[in-house]
Order: sequence, then C-alpha cells, then structure tokens
Amino acid sequence: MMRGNRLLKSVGEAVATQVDFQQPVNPFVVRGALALLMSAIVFVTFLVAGPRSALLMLTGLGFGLVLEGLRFGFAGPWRQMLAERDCRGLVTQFMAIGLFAVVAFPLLASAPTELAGAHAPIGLAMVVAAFVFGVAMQVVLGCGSGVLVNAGSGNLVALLALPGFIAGSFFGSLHLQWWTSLGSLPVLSLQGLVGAGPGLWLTLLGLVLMATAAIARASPGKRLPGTRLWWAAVLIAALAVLNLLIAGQSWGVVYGLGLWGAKAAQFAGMDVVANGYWASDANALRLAENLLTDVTSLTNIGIIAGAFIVMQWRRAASHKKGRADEQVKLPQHGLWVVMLLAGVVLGYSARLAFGCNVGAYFSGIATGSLHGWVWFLAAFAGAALGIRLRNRLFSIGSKPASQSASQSASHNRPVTVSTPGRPASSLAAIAIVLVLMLIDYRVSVPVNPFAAPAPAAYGSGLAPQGGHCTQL
Amino acid sequence: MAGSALAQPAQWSTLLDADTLASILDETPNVRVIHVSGDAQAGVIPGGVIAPYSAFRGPASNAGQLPSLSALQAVLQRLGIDAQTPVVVVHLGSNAADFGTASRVYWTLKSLGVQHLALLNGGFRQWQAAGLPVSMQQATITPSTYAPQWQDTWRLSTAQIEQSLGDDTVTLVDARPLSFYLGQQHVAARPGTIRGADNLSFETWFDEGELKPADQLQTLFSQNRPREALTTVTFCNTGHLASINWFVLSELLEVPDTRMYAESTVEWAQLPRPMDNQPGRLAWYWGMTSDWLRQLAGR
Repeated sequence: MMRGNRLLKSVGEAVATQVDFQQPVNPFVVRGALALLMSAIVFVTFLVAGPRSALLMLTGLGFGLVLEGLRFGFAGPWRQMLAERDCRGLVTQFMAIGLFAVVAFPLLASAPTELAGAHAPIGLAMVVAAFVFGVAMQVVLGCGSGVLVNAGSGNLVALLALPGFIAGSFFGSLHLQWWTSLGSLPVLSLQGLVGAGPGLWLTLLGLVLMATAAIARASPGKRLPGTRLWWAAVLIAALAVLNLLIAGQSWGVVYGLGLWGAKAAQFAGMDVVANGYWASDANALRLAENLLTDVTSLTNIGIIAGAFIVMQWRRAASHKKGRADEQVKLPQHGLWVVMLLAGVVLGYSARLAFGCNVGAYFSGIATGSLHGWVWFLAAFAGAALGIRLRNRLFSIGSKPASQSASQSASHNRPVTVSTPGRPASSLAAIAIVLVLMLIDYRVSVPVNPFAAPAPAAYGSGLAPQGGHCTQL
Repeated sequence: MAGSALAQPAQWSTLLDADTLASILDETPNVRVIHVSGDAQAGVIPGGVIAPYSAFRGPASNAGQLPSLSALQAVLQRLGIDAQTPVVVVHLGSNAADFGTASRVYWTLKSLGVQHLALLNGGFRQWQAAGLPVSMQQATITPSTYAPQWQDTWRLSTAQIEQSLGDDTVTLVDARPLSFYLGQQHVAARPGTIRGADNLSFETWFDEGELKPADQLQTLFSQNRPREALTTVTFCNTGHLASINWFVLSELLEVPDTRMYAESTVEWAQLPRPMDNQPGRLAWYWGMTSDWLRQLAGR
C-alpha cells in the first residue's frame, strides 16, 4: 500500500509538471474543460451503471462543490469553536442538520419501505470510538467528508490520511462484530420512542439548545454565520435530501471507504467474504458488484472529484493562483507517517462508531437516531483533546528554541519539509480513486444493466439496497 | 365396468368440456379431479380436491424449476394418484394465462408417468357457467403408494438448451407475448429471448379464456408455424405459458418431439447466456430515465 502510494504520488507529480503551465491559460478554457470533465464523469457513470448511479454521482459532485467551494466542513468549525470561541461554523452545521431533519422526518414517515434513516445502536465501543474519532479528526483536521474534500483539493495531509482511512475502516469492519458484542443497546430512534412528529420537534429543540449554548460560549462577533455559511447550510441540506430520495438512505461516507479497502484486500488475495461482516448477504453483494453501483462509493468519488474541480476552477484565475496553491506545512518528516496513521485511526473508529460526522452526526441526528447525538457529544469531547495533540505535534518542529533545552537540538532542528504542491497532491488523490476503480473492475462482476434500480428509491416501491455505515 | 382402473374412461380426451366431464364423473367413480388454481372458498367440482399450483413449482427466485422428486411423490401420494388414476386438472379459467396452471401440472404429471390426463377447457368457471353442481366440501382421499420416476421425454434442461444453440434439428419457441420476445418487457434478470428463438405467443390459441376448437388451432399453427425441426422446445419466463404451447402442440396437434424448457428465461438470464433482442445498454438506461421523468411529470 505504502509503496503504491509513493508510486502514485510520483506519477501525480510527473503529470502535474506536465499540466502546470507556465504560460497563463485563458481561465474560460480551463473552466470550460472542468465543466466538460464534470459532465463526462456523470455520463460515464450513467453509461456503466445507469440513471440512479449517475444521479448519485451528481449529488456527490454537488457535495464536493459546496463543501470546497463554500469552504464548509465539520472538523474546522469544531476547532474554531473550541480553540477560538468562534461558533459560526458549528451553528451552520446545526442549521444544516435541522433543515435536513425538517424534510427527512416526514419523508421517512411517508415512505417507510423505500427510505431508511441512519439508525444505529449506541454501544460501549461505539462511544469510545466516537471519542477517538474526535481526537483523530482534529489531528488530521479533516473528518470523513473532510478527508475526501481535502484530498480532492490537494491538501497533503488529507492525501496521506485517505489511504489510512480506507485501510482503517476496512480493518474496523473486520472487527466490528466483536467490538459491538462488548455491549450494545438496541437501535433507538426518536421515531420509535416518541413518533415522527414529536421526534422532529425534539430534534429541532435539541439543535436550538446546542446552538444557543454555542452562541453563549462564543466571543462577540463570532456568533452568527454570514451569507456564505447560510448558503452552505441550505445547499448541504438540499443535497442530503436528494441523497435520501435517490439512494433511499441518508448520506454516508465510511461504508464506501471500508468497501474500497475490502476490494483492495480481495484483489491482494484475501478471502474477505470469510469474515463474518462481509459474509452477510448485503455486504457480500456489495463486495461482488461494481463500485459504481454502491451508493456511498458514488458520493465519495463525487466529493473528491467535486473538490478537485473547485480547486482547479480557482486556480484558473491566475491572480488567485498563489492563494489557491497554498499547501499545508508539515514541520517534520515524521508527521507524514503520523498523518497516515491518524487516517487509519479515523477509519477504524468511524467504522466502530457506526459512522463519521456524516453518517452518524449529520445523518444520524437528522433522521432521528439517538446514536447520532451520543456520537456528537463523544466526538466533540475527543476533539478538545485532539486540538491539543495537534498543537503539540506541529509545535515540536516549529518551536525548537523554547522546548529543546533538554533535548537534542539536532533532532528538533526546524525544517522546511519540501512538499508536493496542491495540483500534484490532488492528482495523486484522483489516481488513488482510479486505481481502486481499476482494482474493482478486476474483482467485481460485470454490471447487468437490466438489474439497474429505478432512478430514485423514493417512489420505486422497493427497499433501498445500498450499504451504510449505520448497518451492522 | 370391472377392471376400469387400468383403462381410459369412456369419452375421455386430453381436453374436456364441462358437460363431457360431468358425464364421465357420473359414470366413472375413480376419476381424480384436482383444482390447481382459484379460490378454495368458491367450492369444487363434486369429488374434487384442491392441489395448489405452488406444490408443482420451484422457489420464488426460480419458479420454473422442478420440485424434487420426493416432494412431487409426496404430493401425488397425498392426492391418491398412481400411474393408472385418470386425473382431470382443473384451473379457475379466469383468463388465458391461467390455463397455464393446469397445463404445467398436466406436463408434470405426464412426466411422472401418470397415464390418463385431461384438462377442462375454460376451467372451473366453465363448469359453473354450465350450471353444473358445485360442492363446498373437498373429497376425502385415500393416499396412494405410487413411487414415480421422472421421464425427461418432454423436457430439455438449461445445459441441453445451451448445447442445442445453433443446432438445426432443434427449434426454440418463445411462448410469451411479443413485447417480451422483443425485449420491451422483462421479468427475468435480462430482457430479450433465447438466441435463435421464434415467437409464438400462447395468446394465439385462445378465445377469451378458452382454447379454440381443434381445427382452428391447426390452422393457426400452420399460419404461425415456427421453423420445422426434429425437436420443438417451448419456453417462456418460468415454464408456465410455455406449458400451454407444449400442451397445444404436443397433446392436441401432435407435433412430434415437442418439449418444454421448464426453467425458461428466468434461469437462462441469471447468467449472461446468449440472447436475442436484448436492448442496448444506453437505450435501456435512457428508457428507464425517460419513463421516470414522465412519471414525475405526471404526478
């Protein structure tokens, strides 16, 4: 895996040097090409796997465009709240969840067979894993969706964390049943406990209370989100509704990444289906079928591609190129490995926690799952620890004078780690996805076009058939 | 009358009308009447019993598959049937396709060695329409000890069909309506028909829910005749409609070596086996999408 990534990276760099024009290129040409690329991605998906897959790819692209284009995320706002008493991003998240819940609750009630909420059990391992996820997401400064968005837009840390995340969520899936057996409540949903109507009110009340608490704790001037974040909340909620209508299940990330890991392991010769988790009918089916028929894989690919397109779009305007090209700085070489390992922890813990910020926090809370609330509290607590850990990690190299009195000065010598730029990193992320799709092409059965599901789950009369991180 | 158990009852033929069946039942005590479709609450022909069609079918995922021989033996024994029992298989008669419940059971019993078999044209509905008596009580039956053997005389398996592709001595006949044959409609995993097949829809033979008179069937067959060959194999989705064609060709028109592919396209299309009239991928996806868009607009 490591060697493969290094190879990919060097390929990415080689390609990047080729396409990194010294001459200014007309931004309209570049942007036209990006629009064409986006249409091509959707069309190829349509051609391979049919209308539902194409619509989900489009939805994923939308998520990527909005998250990267409006600079909205999950890990960053938590850090801003905890470290800078800036609650604007966090309140935006609550708004997005609330808006989605307002549509999702009645939709789920109106089509109980066609649509499924992101409902999962609260358990011992689940709570601990959510806490650990919170820690790791602050170390990487990227959550489930964040790693995808950042990798697509060429953030080096995310590029390192992505393969880790894939491997981690696969390992997590192998051990999930054992961890869950340590102690778990039945699946508790507000719909089941108090009914859909009161459940929605309780959800909104909870979100308002949390937003109020956040606003009360925040510094003046850092309390109410501006227009950009308002748009982000509305668009993310709208895309989440589309995801639910088309896929029949809520937006998720982790299942797809674990599946990618499973495909790679299968390609490497591992008998994945022998594992209890992957032996279940639904998971074995996903493992056998093409990735372009898997709901979360599609949106994940769309998110990476969408973020890539936004990054290139920004670069097209040459005067902004400098800002758009700004790469994260790693003060020490060793942090490369740390970030990869943090990615593994992210993936593993997200799998055990029945979702990341997307599957558990966003989709879980918005569709009435109590595990979503517990996930948020545990992960937020973990984030507080994670912020300190990241500050420590990043200060070791950059502030040697104050800390190295008793340590070897040579070891802590400040270094400027030369890092691949954003274009190269983003191409490497795209290459990882392409290699995984190639692997998948080798290990999966050919798509039977005549078995393709109706364009949308809603109105199809059929139960959703996708995998989700909230399913055991 | 003595020793009639070994002989075919008087007036017996493979396709009976209601009045003839009534008079046979009046004169021959040991005829077994089995109702394979319809509502149990509606009653039965006096002396008849209910033998649900599902007992002669495969699992939901592959309904055309034959049940195991032991399962079929148990059904026959429970119905008191042995090789010499004259059996009349009665369907409800609600429509032409419903005739297939009777013809599939007929084909199954014949393959299990039952010698004297007949169907009731128009089914139970025809019996009721003729004003004949209906019993609300099923007959009590003494089980048989019959241990049947399955004969493949009237059957071709998936493997045999695969081998016969491109073989001039075998004609494949798709009994489904034209839209299925052309791949515009499907219930199997893939639309279209088995490679090289001709179409002869089961609907050809019917007037409402009743088979047309024998001379008309003969004319229709000569008009729509599939390619002549030593062996004629009928198939459909699950060996239901195909059994109607098989019954008409083999039992009424006496076309030599007529067989049925019982598992039909549902099993055939589970794997990417050769098929004709399969729509192109893009056309298919586009059709799905435009249907959906039209449905959205119509709401």
